[in-house]
Formats: sequence, C-alpha cells, structure tokens
Amino acid sequence: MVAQAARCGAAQHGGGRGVTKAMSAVPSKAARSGNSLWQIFRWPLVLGVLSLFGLLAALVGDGLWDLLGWGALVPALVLSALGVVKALRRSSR
Amino acid sequence: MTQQTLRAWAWVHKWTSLVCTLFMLVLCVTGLPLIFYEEIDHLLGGSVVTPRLPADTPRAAMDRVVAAAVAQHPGKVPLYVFADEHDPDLWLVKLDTRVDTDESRAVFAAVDARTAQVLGTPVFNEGVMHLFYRLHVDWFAGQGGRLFLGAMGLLLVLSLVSGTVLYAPFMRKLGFATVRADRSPQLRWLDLHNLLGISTLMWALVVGATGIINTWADVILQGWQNEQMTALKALRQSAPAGSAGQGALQRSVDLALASQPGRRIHLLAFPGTLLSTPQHYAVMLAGTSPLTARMHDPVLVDAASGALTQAAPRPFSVTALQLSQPLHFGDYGGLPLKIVWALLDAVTIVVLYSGLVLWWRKRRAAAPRSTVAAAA
Repeated sequence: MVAQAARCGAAQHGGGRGVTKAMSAVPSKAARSGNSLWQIFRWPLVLGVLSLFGLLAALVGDGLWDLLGWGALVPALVLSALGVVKALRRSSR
Repeated sequence: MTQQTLRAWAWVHKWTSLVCTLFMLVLCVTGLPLIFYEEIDHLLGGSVVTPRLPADTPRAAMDRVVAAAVAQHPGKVPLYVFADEHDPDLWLVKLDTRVDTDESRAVFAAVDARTAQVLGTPVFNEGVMHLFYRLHVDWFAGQGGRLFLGAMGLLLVLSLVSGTVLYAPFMRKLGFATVRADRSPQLRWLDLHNLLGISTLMWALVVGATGIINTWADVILQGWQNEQMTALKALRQSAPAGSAGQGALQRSVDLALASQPGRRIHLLAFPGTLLSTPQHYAVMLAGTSPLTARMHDPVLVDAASGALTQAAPRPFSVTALQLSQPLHFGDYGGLPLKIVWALLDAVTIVVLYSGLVLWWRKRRAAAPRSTVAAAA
C-alpha cells in the first residue's frame, strides 16, 4: 500500500518545481533537495522521547509523577486530533 | 536509500501489516473496554464491599480465611490468595478442582480479612467482559492462542519499524504534520496514516512489545519454577523435619513478612501451583510504591516442615514480565492515564484502518492501469 503511495507521491511531486510551489500545503521549509533526515525526524523524536518519559514517569511514582506522565502523553494525542481535523475539514466539501 | 531498499522496506511494511491488521483491530477494539475493567466491574455491581468495623479489629488467621473459602466451594482446592489492590481488609481466594489446571474453570471467594466471612463469590469467567478478555488474550485456544497472538504482535512491531523507515522518503518534501486534504483522497489518507502513526509510534511500540512478553507469561513462570526447584533440591535435604499442623498457613505468612520488613503480601500460592513449587507455599511480597508494588518476590515456606527458604533471585525474564503488565494495561496512573490509553488505542484503530484503506485503494487503482507501477 505504501509502495504505491510512494509512487503516487513521487509522481505528483517529482513532476517539477512549479507543481510543488503551486501546492499551498507544502511548506516553504521544504528545500529544493528535500528535508534532511534530521528535519524529518526531529519532531517525531521529541514526541517519542516525551511519550516514553510519560509512560515511565507514571510508573515511578504517584501524584506529581502521574501528572507528568499524563502531560507527556498528551502531545501525541493533540497532534493526532489535529491530523484528523485537518483531514476531515477538506473532505466535507 | 536506494530505490531497491525502499521497495524492500515497503514490501516488509505491506505484508507484516496485512497479516496482523485484522487481529490488531480485534485487539484494539476488545482492549478498549478492558482498560476500564475495574470501573465497569464496579458499575455492574461485581465488586465486593467489606463491612465497616473498628480499625483495631484483629485479623483472622489465614488458615480460617482459606477454610471459609473451601467451605463455600466444596470439592475445590485453594490455589492462590490475592490481596485486594484497594481494600486491605479483603482476600480473594482462587480455587479449582486441582492445583495444576489451566485455571479456566477456577472459582473465587472474597473473604473478609478480619471475620473470615465469605462476602461474595465474584465470577470472572463469564459475561461480555470475559468474552472481550478471551478475544484479547487467547481466542479460547489456551497457550496456543496466546502464542499466536504474540506472533501477530511481533509482526506489528516489524510493521511499526518498517513504517518508520518509510516515513522518511514520504516526508522529504513535506513539513511535519502536513495533511494534504485538498488533493486526492489517497494523499489525504496517506498523510493521516503517517501523522497518526508517527505520533503514537512510541506508545504502540511499548504496548505491542509488552503485549508480546505477556503472551509468554506461563512459559516464563514455568521456567522460573523449574529454576527454583533445581536450586531447592540441594537445600531440602538439610531442612528440619517436623509437622506443619494447625495454623501453619498463618505461620508461613508471618515468617515471610518478618523476613522482609516493610513489604506487604501480594499473594499466597499453594504448593503445586504455577507460582510455587510442589512442596512449598510461596508468599509473594511486594513494595508499596507504584513500581515496587509490581515487583513481587517470593519467600518459599516448606509445606511439611514450615522452614523458610529465601527464593533464588528473580531472573530478568520475570522482572520483564512484571514490568510488562502495567505498561500493557495502562492501569498504573489513575483514571486519567486510562483515558489517555483509550484515546491512544482509538488513534491506533484509525492508523490500522487507514492502512487498510490505502492498500485497498492501491489494489483498485493498480488493477486497470499497470502503468502506475511501471512509472516508479
């Protein structure tokens, strides 16, 4: 499924710079040569470390530790909710 | 990454996901109510309430507690006595026809720790929650079913890893958290799948990996039991002979508690059960912090002589198992953590579903136009 999507994406992106530029959804951040691995994975890395911290924090203690645990897991949920909202907004038209 | 390695990873992601997706959907859906097992049980009136007695009411001897439970279930033998997590005045005794059954037909008696009165006989092995539990754990197929679901979990972990590798080429020209909703449905599903997948990756990895370890619980515990048996064989010859007699159970408990001050009883296992040895009572002691409460260590008491034996140190596999349980259930941080768990579970359902949609749309699109594949 992904392979096809990759092809699909490649076909639509690799076509030319003009096409890419015309797409408002593509942020200007994306350099001509594409994002580096660091640029791609820095936010996922932050999320992953936060989540892991949250999972362990609630295990270590009660009270404040529980609070830290919930708090550190919430960003993953917020981003997911944001994604669903973004996907739904345009599809309802 | 060359085109060839990319394709190899895509192949791994496609097939590991396809094989395990339906099972994972069932696990996610049945797991959702199981997160709130305690709360639902309480709402349905399944929980036992202990009567209010003066705080200094003496506690009944363990022997009386167990005798009351056996009287409640004639013909059954006691396997375990569990301490209630929330009510220190309650013991839960588990009984079955033999000590070495698979416990699928076990019965329970909730006994007041002070009066040794049977307060109720909670039933855990029927009803819709039990159905969810079995569909989540073994599909009514015992150890085989458990190991099968463990194998599906292994595929899930492979799918998560390959999905993370594939995330990079997809995001080459996109900013983080981009969802191209104004383009084709395929791209919208793809971006949603990628964003939700990468956001919940760590949680899914942890819950997946700890779920796999949980499927090996019996194997791990049996291995530990064998290890202890070997270690004890040498000791037993020197153990003083004597009769256990009246009140032996309470004496075992007292001995065990005195050997490790500051800890409390997590459970008492009778000789011949999975958690003890054929000749010993095992008194599992636990600490009081959220972490140490789950790190149980057994103190073994010879059933015949009443002699105390410090069990061999807990092997790593058992520590891993004990840590895996809370990290899989999400029951260690109060109700808010359970709600977070449920929401992350729901997001995972969307990731699984969107993956299926992407695969299905691709199949449909590929059928009439094989040129799409050739273009890559």
